[in-house]
Amino acid sequence: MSRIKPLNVKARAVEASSNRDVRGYAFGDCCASFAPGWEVGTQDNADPCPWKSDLSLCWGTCYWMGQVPDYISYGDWLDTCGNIQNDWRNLCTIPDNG
Amino acid sequence: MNLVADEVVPIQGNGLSHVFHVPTSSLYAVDSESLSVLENAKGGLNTEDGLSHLAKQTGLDASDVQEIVDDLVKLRLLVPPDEVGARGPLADRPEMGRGMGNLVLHVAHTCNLGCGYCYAEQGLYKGKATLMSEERAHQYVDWLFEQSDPETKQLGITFFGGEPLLNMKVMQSAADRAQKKAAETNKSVRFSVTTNGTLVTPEIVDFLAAIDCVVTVSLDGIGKANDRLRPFHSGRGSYDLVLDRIQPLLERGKVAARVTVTRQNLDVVETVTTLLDRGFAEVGCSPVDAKNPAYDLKGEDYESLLEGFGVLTRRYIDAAVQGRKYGFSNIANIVKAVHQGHNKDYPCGAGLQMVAGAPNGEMSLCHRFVGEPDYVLGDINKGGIDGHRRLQVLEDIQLAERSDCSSCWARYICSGGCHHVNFLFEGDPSRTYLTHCDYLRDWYQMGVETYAEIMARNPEFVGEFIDPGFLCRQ
Repeated sequence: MSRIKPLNVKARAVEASSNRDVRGYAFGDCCASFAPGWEVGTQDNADPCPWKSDLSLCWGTCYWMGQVPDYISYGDWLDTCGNIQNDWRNLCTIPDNG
Repeated sequence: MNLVADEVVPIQGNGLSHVFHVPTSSLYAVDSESLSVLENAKGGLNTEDGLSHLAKQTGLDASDVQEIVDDLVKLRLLVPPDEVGARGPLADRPEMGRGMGNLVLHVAHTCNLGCGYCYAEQGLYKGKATLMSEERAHQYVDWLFEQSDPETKQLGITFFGGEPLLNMKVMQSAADRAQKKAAETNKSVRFSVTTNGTLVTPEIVDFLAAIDCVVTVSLDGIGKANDRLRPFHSGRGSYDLVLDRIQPLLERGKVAARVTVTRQNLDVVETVTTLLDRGFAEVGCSPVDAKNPAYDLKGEDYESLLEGFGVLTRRYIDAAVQGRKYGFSNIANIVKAVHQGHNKDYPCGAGLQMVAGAPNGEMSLCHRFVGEPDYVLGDINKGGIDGHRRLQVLEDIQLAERSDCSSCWARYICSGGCHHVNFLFEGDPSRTYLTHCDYLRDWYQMGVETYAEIMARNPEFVGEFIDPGFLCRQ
């Protein structure tokens, strides 16, 4: 598929769906303060207040969205990363349950 | 005819061509030949004629056309006529009837500021000034834990008002009880607070730090621009006082600012820039919904707002290309939604995962609906949420019921917009307030273009800041 490149998560799920059952939308997540991270995974897709940003129900230690994985789906996400500053490359180990 | 182009939106900008597939919210980078084939297939395509007609129309070799058509079929961009618009398993459909994970605790129905546009009528919510009692707060906290699903390990409590810091004693007591409950039930609880910042003291900073509370401070501009909109009841401005009081919080580095944008403070570039410079980690802007012409944005105001958002978005892209984040929340959120391919029937978590608890015990669809009798989902004194009532309301407000949205390409991202805005302007949360729509569509388009540009110039940014691990899963 050289002419058409799937970019986002759903596009990749569509591309893969003819081969296997891919959980394209159950992936490790992270958040900005206004976009809490539990809208995917077992909690389904629903931010508390994405439109008006009245609420900031975010992971407490979140400084920026990239810091918060989807702990709901992947409770052991940090197990391979004892020191996040040194071991962050090991974080690419969220299991693909598809 | 046996194939037809599904509902797609070509997105072209910055020298890049993309196609957004509306039914699944999938986004593809395409070359010009593929785009041409797709455009030519809008009226239908008969593959039995060997695609010669299409080859003639596009000027491509038959073999190229065949390859492109095969790929378009595989990606569901070309589909049989009876499958047009099918969302399939990629739609984000919430599981109805799950326990609530998030509680908005209205600890104070009163406020020490007198913002003219306030949807909550300076915190009164159509009632009298009230502070939530400690006993009531404990009832809510206990309920949150008791009804939550066993597999839900994280719960959220937002302290809200009015001005929640007017009832610090109850905030502290509720937080303490929630932490004890969390320990007993092997769950965790996140706290957040939305405050005007005027009452912050060193003791409150210590408390918020101790419970790891995410703090959002409402500010509507810099200096007098804020003071005109957010005065004390005496008329005195609040900006200097707020910035002085929250300085210790800013030094913690995790404070967000929320800007309500009205006709009177449209200079979002100056506001966002200055607040980020002052130490806020993120700044998010939200157009006001006051049903008051002195505040509500009109057509040309939305254009001005989008222009400002465009400037801030360019800064976000420039930072992303360099592997840095720029704390303009609006674009960060849209980029994230585009990345995930949000495809929702509901615009937010109201009634699905989140409920608001008022001082009098009434539990409402969300914090903005407190005081509206038709959107009370239950009462904490009567066992909490009425499941039947909850489902009834959720069925009424889902996107599928809206003919107004049926031809909009952004409908599964927007999902009809804020329930309360629709209620305020249309009298019914299930009727979309169409005045916002042009602005929102332009904004989503900017979001898609932004995501596409970042993916073209520095996909590592997405893998690092938007979705850790994404690139590893390719």
